[in-house]
Amino acid sequence: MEPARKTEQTPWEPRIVAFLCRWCSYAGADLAGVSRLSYPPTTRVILVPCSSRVNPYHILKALMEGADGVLVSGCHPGDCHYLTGNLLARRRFILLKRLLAYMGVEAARVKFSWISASEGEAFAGLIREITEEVRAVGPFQGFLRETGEDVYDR
Amino acid sequence: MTGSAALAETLRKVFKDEKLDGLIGYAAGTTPLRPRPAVFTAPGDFDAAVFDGFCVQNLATYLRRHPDRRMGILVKGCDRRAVTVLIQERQVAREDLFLIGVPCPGMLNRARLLTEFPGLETGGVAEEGDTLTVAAADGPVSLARADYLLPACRACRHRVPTDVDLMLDAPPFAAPEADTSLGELTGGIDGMERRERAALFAEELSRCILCYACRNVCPFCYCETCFTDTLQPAWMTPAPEPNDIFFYHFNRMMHMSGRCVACGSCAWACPEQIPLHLLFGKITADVAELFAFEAGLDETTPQPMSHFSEDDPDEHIG
Amino acid sequence: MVRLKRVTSDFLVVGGGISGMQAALDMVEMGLKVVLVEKTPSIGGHMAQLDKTFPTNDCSMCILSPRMVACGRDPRLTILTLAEVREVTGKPGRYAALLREAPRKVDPRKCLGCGACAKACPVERPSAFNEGLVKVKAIDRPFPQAYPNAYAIDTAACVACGKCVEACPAGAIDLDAAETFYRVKVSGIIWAGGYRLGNIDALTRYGYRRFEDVITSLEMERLLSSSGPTGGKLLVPSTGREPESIAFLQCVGSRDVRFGRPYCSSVCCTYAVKEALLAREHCGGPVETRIFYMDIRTQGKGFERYYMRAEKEGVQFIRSRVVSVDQRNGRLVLTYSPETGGVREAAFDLVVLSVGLVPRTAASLEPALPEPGPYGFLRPSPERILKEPGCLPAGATACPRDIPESVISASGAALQVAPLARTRKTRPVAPPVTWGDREPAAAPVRVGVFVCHCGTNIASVVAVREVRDFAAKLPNVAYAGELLYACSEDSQTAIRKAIKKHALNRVIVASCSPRTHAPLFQETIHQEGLNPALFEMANIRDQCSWVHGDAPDRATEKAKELVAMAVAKVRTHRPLTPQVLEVTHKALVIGGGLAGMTAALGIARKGHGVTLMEETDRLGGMALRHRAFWDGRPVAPFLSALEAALRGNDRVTIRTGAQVTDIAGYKGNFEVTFQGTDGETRDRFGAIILATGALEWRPEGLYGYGRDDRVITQTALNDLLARAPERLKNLRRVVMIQCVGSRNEQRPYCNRVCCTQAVLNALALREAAPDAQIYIAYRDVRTYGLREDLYRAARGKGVLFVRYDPQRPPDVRVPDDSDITRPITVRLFDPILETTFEIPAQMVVLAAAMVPPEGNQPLARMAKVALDPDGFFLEAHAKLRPVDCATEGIFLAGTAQGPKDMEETIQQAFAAAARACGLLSKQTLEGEAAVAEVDEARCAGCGLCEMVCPFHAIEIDAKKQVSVVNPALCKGCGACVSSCRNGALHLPNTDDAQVVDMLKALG
Repeated sequence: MEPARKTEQTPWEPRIVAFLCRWCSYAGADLAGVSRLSYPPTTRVILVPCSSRVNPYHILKALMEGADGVLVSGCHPGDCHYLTGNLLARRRFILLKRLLAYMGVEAARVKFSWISASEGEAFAGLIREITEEVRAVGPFQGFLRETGEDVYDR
Repeated sequence: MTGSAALAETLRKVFKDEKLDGLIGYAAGTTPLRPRPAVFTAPGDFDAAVFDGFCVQNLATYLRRHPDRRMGILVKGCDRRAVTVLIQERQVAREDLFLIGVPCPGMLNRARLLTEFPGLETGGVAEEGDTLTVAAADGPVSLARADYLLPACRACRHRVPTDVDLMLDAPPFAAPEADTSLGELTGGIDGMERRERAALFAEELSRCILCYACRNVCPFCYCETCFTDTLQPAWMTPAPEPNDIFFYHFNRMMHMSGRCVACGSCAWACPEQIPLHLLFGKITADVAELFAFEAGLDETTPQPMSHFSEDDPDEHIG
Repeated sequence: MVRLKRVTSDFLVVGGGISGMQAALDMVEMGLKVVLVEKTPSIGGHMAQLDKTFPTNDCSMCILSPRMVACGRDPRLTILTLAEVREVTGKPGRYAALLREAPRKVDPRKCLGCGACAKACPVERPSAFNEGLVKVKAIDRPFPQAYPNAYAIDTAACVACGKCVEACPAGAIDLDAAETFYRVKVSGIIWAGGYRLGNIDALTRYGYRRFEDVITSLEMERLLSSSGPTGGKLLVPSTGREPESIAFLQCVGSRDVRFGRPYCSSVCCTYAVKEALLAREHCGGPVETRIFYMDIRTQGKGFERYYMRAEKEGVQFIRSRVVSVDQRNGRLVLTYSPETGGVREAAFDLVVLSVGLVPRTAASLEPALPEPGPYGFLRPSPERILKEPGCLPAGATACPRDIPESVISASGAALQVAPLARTRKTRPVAPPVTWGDREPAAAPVRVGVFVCHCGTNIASVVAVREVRDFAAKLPNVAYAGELLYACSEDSQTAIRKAIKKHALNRVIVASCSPRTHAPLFQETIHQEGLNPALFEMANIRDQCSWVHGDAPDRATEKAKELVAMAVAKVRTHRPLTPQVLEVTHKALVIGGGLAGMTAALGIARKGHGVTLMEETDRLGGMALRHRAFWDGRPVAPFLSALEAALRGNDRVTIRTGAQVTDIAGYKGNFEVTFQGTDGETRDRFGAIILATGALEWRPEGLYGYGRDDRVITQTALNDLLARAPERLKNLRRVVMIQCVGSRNEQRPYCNRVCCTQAVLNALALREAAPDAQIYIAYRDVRTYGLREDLYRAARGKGVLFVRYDPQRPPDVRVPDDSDITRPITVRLFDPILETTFEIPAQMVVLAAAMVPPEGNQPLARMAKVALDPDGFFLEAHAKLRPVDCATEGIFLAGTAQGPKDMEETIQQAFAAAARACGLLSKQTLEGEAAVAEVDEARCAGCGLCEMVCPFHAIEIDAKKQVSVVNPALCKGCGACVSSCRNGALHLPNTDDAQVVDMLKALG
């Protein structure tokens, strides 16, 4: 899927790939549904056993394949079904988030959160929030696409 | 020190005395100011041995190629740290190695010298004390060694290798110890606006031709198959585009986190002179700041990406 | 022609509601054979009729349906529908029951569920499932998810015209079919007859049957349900329009001596809260929802938060008594008397009567039944619990109960009768599903996609047909179809038929959440010979139609993409075979209080070894400080009999003064390290029960506690009443204050036990201090269930109940100089009289909250289980898995899971024991199917995976210099996979290549 393809009649809507852990965040998303909490239809969920299953590859690849934003959500610290997967992942994600920012990728593109199975409202709220954040930064154009002119022409 | 008979003699003696199967060091290369890594396997080989300010390439990269053999290796500070990381990662065994330490004088920026003094040949830079004497076209030019260090070497705080089996005398040339840090080197970028940062990397990395020289010289890029080369999953597209270049460098850095010893080999090897120290410097500085960890200082402290702390910050959230 | 069949089984369960189903399922888990008898044409009971369940608003049918399917599938479980018990003789261990099965007249094995018969049938009758709100034909299927999923003829309505026989394409109908009698020999009986709705006189008093728009709460459930008569649109019966105002009348036929139902029905407050919340959700416009109540009794786990949420969302709560309901100008006019006195009126479009529960009695079971309790409930005595009972009640036949309490009581009853089974040694359970047996994974890949309507749950938002058509064109999709309810029994048949017909070797169900429904579909495809791993779900309901109702087009687009992603993923799924694990046939119970002791006894009686571990040097826990159960039965004799039974049972090992310091391993094979007086020891267990109890919070600084010794807690008063009642003799005025440290911001839960405790202690104090005036300052009196009798008795004996607002709590002043001759001054603001009383009291008794012990945290970490927001252990599912932890092999008993009284603790302990015995009865267990795999050619043996694995499931083979995964320990989290730089680790069916395929499948 190419970003350019989305130029037809339908207005652009953010598309967010969400990697949700099975035990907490996916259950939280289900609870949002069970509670009929409305949020924008911008997410495409990929169910993973644990947030520690999520590799930086997945996050970057999602953006490369046309996502405008990526969410990775796992259990709160201490709640991990696999005990400490989320804490292990945290180290990886801190570095990833820092390096992305350093290399000039908008902070809105990649988001991390901790959502428990009982946080349906938090999940719905988060999707609303990140949808708006991604909307604000616009469609993802690909990595290394921002040229100097963009900066200096301002 | 190029072609120093004393160096050859010392290495030859170690080779014999320690009954080594091979000894990894540097020999004069065929391109200007670029000594090549060499594996000396016979006493007669050592006449070619050199050590000077252009011996950037990390020799630890070659250790894995000689499994189950008793190998000697010439190590600067960063080579030594790389050996430690490889020992931690079970790629080499300490008991198979004979480490010959050499206090590092700080390695020189070959690319800059060649740009400023076109036509320089090997031997065209005489190193003495803290001064370089360059045989420029219009006569010798004196330069301060400190001004011509590679960025990573300017930030290096571990020039002298530790825990070696034999320590050579310090060469008669050296630059003063670190005048900056990796954090400082990359901090300037951190301070830029996002779009400036994006433009900077777009511009620098636009030169990348994915030749993987950086990967090939890295002591830690020892994967049988790199993620760039797998077909299942196919992370990269067959005809590389900026996304792929980003994907490669970004993920290589993720793999380097907690392991990179900031030897600068990758930047040195880059035919496009992409300032890769801005990448490995960043990840290394972040690891130091977040997890109070520097790679390769000792074998017993586990690498930061192998575990976690409950007190790690939550800064990625939100 | 009357037929008589003879059947021998282990147990008879009477009643096919959730209680009966649970009891039966737990028994078959324990390897026992069961006959389940249900009076109606389908199992499911009242729970099938409910729209959502409180307090999570889970779809009732969605969680029930998989259980019904599980019942229908187990070969050890014989289900007789349209059947009743005629007669029971014998005694525990040897019962003979005569059952009568009325003719269904439709052969469930032949019925296709096509509905041609109902179309042809000329006779209409009210639908029982829809509470008579709509008419159905005389031949009908009770509801789409029914089991057996076949039509049935209502013989009372049928005119035997034969039109259905002609219409049936399967020849399934036999109008001459006669009744069948069964003579069943069993060892024990569970009576799970459930409840019926309360007194019709009570209903008509509030306008029911006089005014069309006065409905019962169960009718309201049907109106709210998407499978109900209005398709989930809440419409006023007389006008067909959405209501603008709804009144809920509480305690209709409950807490009302006039109708012989003085007890509280326990569930109505919370279900009214639920129905009010759902009504607000369902109605397009603003709707006024008012609940007219006496006390709000949201005493269950998580219910208080639910109540608070309802208040926040605008549900109004009016403390009042309703005098009458009339109709004026087309609206219903409520006359009520608010708390502050006087009479007021208010008009509504719809009035919902929160009808109470009345136990179903069973005369035919009487010879076997436990002693009858009050109001037709059955309450087995403690002696009966300690001895081996042969017949026990489950669910609402014992007292008014909600679903989790019913499930708990059913599991508990199953365990208690289980030791009587004919074969003391449990039958070897059917071998586990061997996932790898047939392997049709070979190319070419042929994917079947089944898109579910979920009634209107999905179809009202997502264009199901469009999604199906889209799916049909995806690569490798060989078949795409629609299902009305993918989870129903007929859909399982449809899926199996499609697999066969289209030679499918991968299946996608696009419906609800894989968390709840994947096992059901996996079993279905497995029955057709497909490895269960060759399956994926697309969650187009919970994560699509339910949350994108305002954007149907985009929801449809999203559903398509979710299906495309699932197809992309399933194409490269491999068949998987889980590791078969041995089971250590021994349990560990952590905590030697009432819960732990009961659970340990239950497990030992069932025939398994059990270690009961207690931190202190004495068994009994908090029960040692209690005088009596809520119904007045003394605790001490029960406790000592329990301890004696434990000490006399050689399967029980008691370890006091010991602590658990580490728990390794997994279900069936836990390795536990103890620290005791004898140093560190280790032992292996198949299952673990957490029964660590709760503590009484010390309300330091509140109401003078800690500054004056005469301010004490209810537990301390209990002690005094038990040990030194003479010291209370001269008390003149005693004030009890309720909700101390609970129902507040810090602890937003109801402590459940303290209202009953206060009333019970007040009654005892009445005896000990005859001259004392006792005041109880309360917020709501929550003497739920049969405990209401105590409340009435206390009022009858002159105990004064004074309500207080949390904004104006009682003001307690203790004398500065600790002079105990001077009274404690209690100032109570009475919101009814709007005046402040001043009471000079000699004693103030505080109902302090139960709090979880601090040790829960490290224990939770060791056992890899979760705590709820209040620090109690979290159950796997609030409704249907109330004693299981999400981590398999670990179960919960007693107040460790949340506040409850001793009777409830005993029930839950037996339930936890039942679940543990289900596990211990098995010879082997299955491990995870999807475990990490090492590609040795790519592994560099760097050891990172070994270090990151939280379960120590990976080791480096030093010789080969590669990682080795222990599939018994691996949980399939994938931490190693994404840590591996070499790409040498794989998690089958969640592999990197599949993630890429899914991403590429995004439109």
